[in-house]
Amino acid sequence: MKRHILYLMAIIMMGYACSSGDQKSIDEELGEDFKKEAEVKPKVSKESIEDLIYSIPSPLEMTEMIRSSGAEFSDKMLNNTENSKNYVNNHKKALNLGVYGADLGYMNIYEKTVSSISYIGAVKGLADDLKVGQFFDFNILKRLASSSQNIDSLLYITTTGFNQMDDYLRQNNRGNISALILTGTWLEGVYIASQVAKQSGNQDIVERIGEQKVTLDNLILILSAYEQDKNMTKLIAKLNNLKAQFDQVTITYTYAEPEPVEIDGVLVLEDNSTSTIEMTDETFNNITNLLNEIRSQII
Amino acid sequence: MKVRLLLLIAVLLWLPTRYAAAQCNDQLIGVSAELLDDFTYIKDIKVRMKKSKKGKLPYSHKYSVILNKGMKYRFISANAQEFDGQLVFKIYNTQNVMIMTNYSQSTGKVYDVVDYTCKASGQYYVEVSFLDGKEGCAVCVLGFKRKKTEYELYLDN
Repeated sequence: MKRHILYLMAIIMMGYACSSGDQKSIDEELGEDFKKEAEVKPKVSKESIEDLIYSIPSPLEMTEMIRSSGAEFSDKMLNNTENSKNYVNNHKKALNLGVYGADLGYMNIYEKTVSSISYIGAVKGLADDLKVGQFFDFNILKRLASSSQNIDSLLYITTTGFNQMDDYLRQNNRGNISALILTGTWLEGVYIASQVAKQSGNQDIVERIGEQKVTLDNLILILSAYEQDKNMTKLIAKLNNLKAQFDQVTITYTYAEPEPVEIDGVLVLEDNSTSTIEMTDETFNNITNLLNEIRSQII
Repeated sequence: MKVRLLLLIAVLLWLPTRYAAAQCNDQLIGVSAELLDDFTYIKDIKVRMKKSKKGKLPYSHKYSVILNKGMKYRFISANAQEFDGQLVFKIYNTQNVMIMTNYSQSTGKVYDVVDYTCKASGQYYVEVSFLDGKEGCAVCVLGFKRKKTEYELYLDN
């Protein structure tokens, strides 16, 4: 019987040794620079953060809406890739990895794939610096970007790359980096939308910006989990100023039952519910100015 | 001899579960990506659940997701073949009212693909479980429909 227990214990210990060995090699690879980062433990449960992170919408949806509205492409709004050399700490690198990710999505949705190659390079460079470059194969992405015929594949590979990187960071107790990337992505997406709305006055885009109230609340909750980090506290304070403006926005939801139909084996539902946004011009201008201010401090 | 046999069985039972767990995640995203058709991939939920206890409600988990007015979304479920469980997802609106599910109680059919046109922006909830509480591994993939570009329209013609 004792031998049974000993053998079983040996197997269990082997299992643990394998997994802890993986973690050790990750820690060794990351080095001193990342130790401070690992010390930032989330204040809320990993599960709650995961649920909140899942809720943050992709900037691609916002970009698609901008493109569908007929707005012209403008690379003047984007963060110049030359700036990527200026980001020296992981906090800035992570935020701008998100910013460049959103810019890349904007370019791809507009099929500016050839000019997006420098953005792929910026994403890859910052991801390498943060030791998560393995999720972006520069050569494959560059090859896909060489033709707008590959737009679906390019969007799919970049989005899955970002999602896998996010999973990996959270699984390796680097959720704070994941939260910063997400913040950069969201901020850049809303910034681009606000610039387009300011120029065009398109009410659908203005409304979509007002709806970001819900996402911003979730984003602040995610970041608050890591508020013991000084840089994070400063960022949360800036976002709370933005939240104060978004709190002036009223969202009304009216429910009406949807009607399901089956078409070629696919269940199709047309929603009958409605939502409306009430936001004054003053609030919209304040939001736009604050987005501009926060972004210029980040990039 | 008996001890060695027991150990061998233990190892053989342990290895496939590790293998299955690896197989039932990212590979399934690739499978479901094919069902996206002309929808653009946004995100996925990986679901792995054990068999639920007898007489109890099936294990489930709720995720929140923000859906936007004017967008057409596609929800896809793909199940790992090595398990019996079929993924059932239910979508609840901001008021926590169930607005759709991929499982038809009247016909017993589980749909792999559900298209949803959103007309009210807000925070929705996706509840995932396996039909009849069976053990399963699956992914639920979410995509949105892009308006065709001039080049895509040219290719269609």
